[in-house]
Amino acid sequence: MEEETLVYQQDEVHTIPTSLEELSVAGRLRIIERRHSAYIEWRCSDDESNPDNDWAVVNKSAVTFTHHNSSGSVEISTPRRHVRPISVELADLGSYKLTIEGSLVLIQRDGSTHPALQFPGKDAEYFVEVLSRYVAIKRSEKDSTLFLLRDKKTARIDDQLSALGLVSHASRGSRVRKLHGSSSSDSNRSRGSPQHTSSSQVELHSAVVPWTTAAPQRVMGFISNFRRDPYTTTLTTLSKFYDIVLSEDDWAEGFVSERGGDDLNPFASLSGLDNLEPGFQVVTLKGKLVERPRVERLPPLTQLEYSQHCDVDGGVRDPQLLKRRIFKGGIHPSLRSELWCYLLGYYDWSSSSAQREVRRNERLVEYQKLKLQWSTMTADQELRNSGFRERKSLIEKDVNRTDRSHPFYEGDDNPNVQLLHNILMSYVMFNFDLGYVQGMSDLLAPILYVTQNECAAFWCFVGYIDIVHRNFDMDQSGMKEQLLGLQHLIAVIDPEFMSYLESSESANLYFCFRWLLVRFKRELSYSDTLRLWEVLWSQEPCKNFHLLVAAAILDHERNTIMENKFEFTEILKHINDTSQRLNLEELLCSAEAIYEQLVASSDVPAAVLTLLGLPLKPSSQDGEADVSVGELASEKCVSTDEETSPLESSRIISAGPSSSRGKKENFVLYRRCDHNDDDDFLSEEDTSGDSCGGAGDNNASVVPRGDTSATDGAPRGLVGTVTSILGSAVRHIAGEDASIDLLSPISAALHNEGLFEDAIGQQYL
Amino acid sequence: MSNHRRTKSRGRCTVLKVVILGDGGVGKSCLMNRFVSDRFDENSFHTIGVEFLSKEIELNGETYSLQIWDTAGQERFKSLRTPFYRGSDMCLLTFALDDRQSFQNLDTWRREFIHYADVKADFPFMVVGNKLDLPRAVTKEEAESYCTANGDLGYCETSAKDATGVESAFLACLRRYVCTDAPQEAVPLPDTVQLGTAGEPSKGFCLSGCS
Ligand SMILES: Nc1nc2c(ncn2[C@@H]2O[C@H](COP(=O)(O)OP(=O)(O)OP(=O)(O)O)[C@@H](O)[C@H]2O)c(=O)[nH]1
Ligand SMILES: [Mg+2]
Repeated sequence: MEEETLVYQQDEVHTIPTSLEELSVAGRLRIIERRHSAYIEWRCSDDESNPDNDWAVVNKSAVTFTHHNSSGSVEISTPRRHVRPISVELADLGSYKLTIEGSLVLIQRDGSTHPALQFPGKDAEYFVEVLSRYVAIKRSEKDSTLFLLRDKKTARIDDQLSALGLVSHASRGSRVRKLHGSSSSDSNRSRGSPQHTSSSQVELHSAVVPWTTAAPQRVMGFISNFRRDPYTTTLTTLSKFYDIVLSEDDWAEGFVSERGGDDLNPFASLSGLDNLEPGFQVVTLKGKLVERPRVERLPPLTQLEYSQHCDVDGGVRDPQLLKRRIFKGGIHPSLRSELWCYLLGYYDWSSSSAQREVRRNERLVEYQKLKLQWSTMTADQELRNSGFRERKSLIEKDVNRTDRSHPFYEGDDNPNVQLLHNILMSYVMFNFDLGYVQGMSDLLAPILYVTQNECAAFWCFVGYIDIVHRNFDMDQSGMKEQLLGLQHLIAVIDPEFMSYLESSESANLYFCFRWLLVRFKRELSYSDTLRLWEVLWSQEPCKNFHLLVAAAILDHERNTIMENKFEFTEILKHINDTSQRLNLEELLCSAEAIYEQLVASSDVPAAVLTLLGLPLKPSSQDGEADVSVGELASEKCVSTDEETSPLESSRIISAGPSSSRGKKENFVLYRRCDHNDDDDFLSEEDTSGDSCGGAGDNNASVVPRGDTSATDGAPRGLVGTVTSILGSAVRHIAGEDASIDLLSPISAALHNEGLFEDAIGQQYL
Repeated sequence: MSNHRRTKSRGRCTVLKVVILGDGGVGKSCLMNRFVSDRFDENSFHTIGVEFLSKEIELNGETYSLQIWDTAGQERFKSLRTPFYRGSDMCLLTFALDDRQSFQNLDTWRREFIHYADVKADFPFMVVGNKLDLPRAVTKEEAESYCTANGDLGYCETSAKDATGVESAFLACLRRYVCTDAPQEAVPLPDTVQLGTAGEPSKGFCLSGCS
């Protein structure tokens, strides 16, 4: 046994159940020193009742829950779930989330995210105090529940750096104004340029990161990026510099003519991008949405309420109204098995009870025919039918791995697993071309559980696949389109986050793949999955509402992702770890709020309106705003200017009502064309037919927006100096000397030139 | 339990990327979970999308952090998984000993990996025959002769269920990696820019504070 020192211990630290059906498990939280490192550990205290060594079962006695309401009760089961013990070396802990209610989530530097723990008496003060003996803790400026940890040594250097007074607080305003003043006189240079439109349309993105506090980190970030990849860092920095010089004109007009003395930051469009990884930039971000409204949801639809929607024959009077109601609150479990049949098209809304009886009988006959087709296939026949054999083998493998910890499907030789198999095999006969694709069993299992009837489950499943069949396209184009649609959405509702994702090579949103493929089934508790699905099936309030749900999850995680500076791998890990920890009702509220926000905003790009099936707004209806769904699925490359085509080597990830003469660019994100891997998911290959062919010089991502001649109007001296200093630093670092002093020569040189403050103030670094 | 990785800059261990490939249902996820958390979940799900877990492992007094990537085996999801091959240091080619077809598909997997990971054929592959606890449909000799015929690939037999041979399979793979002498930089530069004639750009940026 290794030597250990216990430095902190707290009993009765509970797991926080993520759904009604779960229990919370008590455990012991400790901080331990072992081999010169400190560890945070949590282990459930109830060891005896848990033969499976140290993994806690969060719902062992709560497998079946009874839901009561005035109109009856129904039992609903939920799968067993385990909670792992936690052990994190402090050096690996990147941040934690701590709410005033005393719930704690530990987040590692690699993105691993642990389940939420609840401190007794909501009091984590002592824990934090002990923690702060080992690491420097800093509260996030964006999210008051997020705390970022740093090595004490690094923290000290940061502090020294700011103490050195490299960043002069007083000089900020004047610097900005000076630069602004110098270029506003040049602003007429580009007046003829089409994309420099009337200032009245220009709205600056207003989130401004307090630059004075962020500056030291920015310098540190710059220096470390520089060491890692001097070339790209240099280019990026310079590109931002150019960019600001160029977009100055836009801003200048707005400033002078309309905004008057308004203290707008001309560099607001770059705010929050101070940690930008090398190689990416946001060129313009001007769209602005109205504020997101607060949204209330309703309790689930009950039997009583439902009966008021029905006429004497048992038909639904106003299906739209009922669907709207289902969207707002879902369906009480006791009503599900009936209403799902409507939502999934097995029953017609207007049908009477007698007609439904007829429908059931017809469909039963039909189902039995399908079932006979595969069940009478002889082994000999199978031998000559490889397509059939493959599908069958996949189904057999997958039904044995679908919801097997759910009471309805658990245990050896469970007959319900056989039913899953039967239904999927019958579906293969129903639609042999689509056949069976992994993910389908996940979509079927909850339906069979709710309907508890093989035939009804089959036809409901058919209805569900009709809705989501594009998820299973042979070439996955349906999935690609959805991910792109989501990309468009994020770019509109949170451009800052989108450009962060761009900069961390995560804009492809790969990590949302599982969410979309099985409609969040793997991310939610069983009862939440049922709730979400019926909400989505209502087709209210717009189509593709599931993408708004995805956007809502990302919205919830964006600060954690950005503040931890997670890159692709870490984001993937973090997102995978949010599985089973989402609060569905909260998410549905945010998703609906985002919807309302988009509806109320006037500047939503046509692509997004089309995605959600919303009417195109008058402003975007004229001209070229008719972006079809097909187009939406592909990246577009638009040249804004005929004479100079500065965009040739970059791609527009998201284009608003696109930018032609006299039209404003709503927002445009440029991304450097990285290596084109033929079969990369979402690779540019699909769209190679468009005019992006000029992307030969992939690495030259520094694309000045607009009339290149504007560059000439920039203060050459500054550009020249920065270029040469960065250049010499590149040579220096690329050379033999691996251990240059932290601040020399870059910052020292800059400082001597009196340009360091400029550089920081203008966020070039 | 330590399912985390350390960054290289901390100078304490090397992060290596391991990809597990093979037909659906051969036990890739089970192998990964057995290796990382020493558990076998009878009720596990089939994999959708991409997942990875990390585990530290020691060899010759050096600590390595293996970042193990697990993807879905169905052909349809090829375009999703292949981008993740890039930058791999090792690859486990997995089949199930009770499933002949999965053995016959090994070569497809090997070629898919070589193509998309953009590596040479002498890459440190490890062929793993899983489900050793079940009745065999593939003999050890057959499997070994496949390995010999394809450039002397490593071969191991495992059971994720009863833990037989799992750790040693990963260790053997690591040993082969160490022997082939780290063919690539584990952390490639984000793009292909070369710093003129200054030599290898990724060398020499070791943080001065890494001691
Ligand atoms: N008897 C036995 N069963 C195993 C073993 N390893 C895995 N299994 C079972 O085989 C099935 C498939 O295992 P997975 O790990 O899910 O397979 P996979 O390769 O990850 O499959 P995909 O995720 O679909 O690509 C599961 O039902 C496991 O319980 C083993 O060593 N012995
Ligand atoms: Mg798997």
